[in-house]
Amino acid sequence: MKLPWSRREEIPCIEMVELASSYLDGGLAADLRRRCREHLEGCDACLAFFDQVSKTIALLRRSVTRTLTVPERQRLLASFKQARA
Amino acid sequence: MALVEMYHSGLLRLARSYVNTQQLAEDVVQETWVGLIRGIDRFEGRSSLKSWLFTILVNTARTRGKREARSIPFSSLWDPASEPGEYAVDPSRFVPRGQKAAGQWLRPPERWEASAEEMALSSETRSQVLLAVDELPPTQREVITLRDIEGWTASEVCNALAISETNQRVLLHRARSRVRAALEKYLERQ
Repeated sequence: MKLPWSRREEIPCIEMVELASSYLDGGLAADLRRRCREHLEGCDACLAFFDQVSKTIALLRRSVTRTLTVPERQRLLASFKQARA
Repeated sequence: MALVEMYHSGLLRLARSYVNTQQLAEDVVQETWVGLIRGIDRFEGRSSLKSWLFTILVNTARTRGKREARSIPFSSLWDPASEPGEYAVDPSRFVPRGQKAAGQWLRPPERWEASAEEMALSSETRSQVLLAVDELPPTQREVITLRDIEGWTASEVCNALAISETNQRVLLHRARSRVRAALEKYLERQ
């Protein structure tokens, strides 16, 4: 990943928000990961933002019910029977 | 039917990325299951049954989407990394360039006090999340559906959609950012 800021500077908040998704997936290189963590330790706003992204991901996983409705089930069973015939 | 129970709703959501109506999406999923049953003898176990199933779906849905003359996502041809940037957060929420403290938050996000488990108890919140997913550009919707709703790994998604690791990461980041922004907006109205 190309970084628009120098290695010594602190990562600005406006760039932190672009790293949240990869950070939460554990996808950042060790050095960048450490600098992210350091920023988060001193920045409540970015911490709140990362927490929002993390909760968004958790909500996505919980947003669906994995059961079939009765008409769905009937329709599928009928088409399976047809496919086997 | 256990397999159907497990994957049907995920297949349906993904199918909606390619076709216009719920009815067409249901047709695509039905065709996918039938395709699976017909082809089960050819399944060699080199990939997981799950990724094979979704590959059948993507192929069926793309063919159908083309027939319905709707623009379909050519994930494999499109490289988001070369696309102009899309911001995770509206840049006007940060101190502009050239000013002191440039890039710091001007309008920081609120803390969401409730845990994700508590938030998920609200069916209204859950449907807001799915609504936000429905409104994503098709390629973003494909990736976030498989990764975050269905729980696939990055490499499973790259294989199924024939996209690079970088594209997968960028698309997922943009999709999550849009869904977060939609949730933030919804929660502010509450």
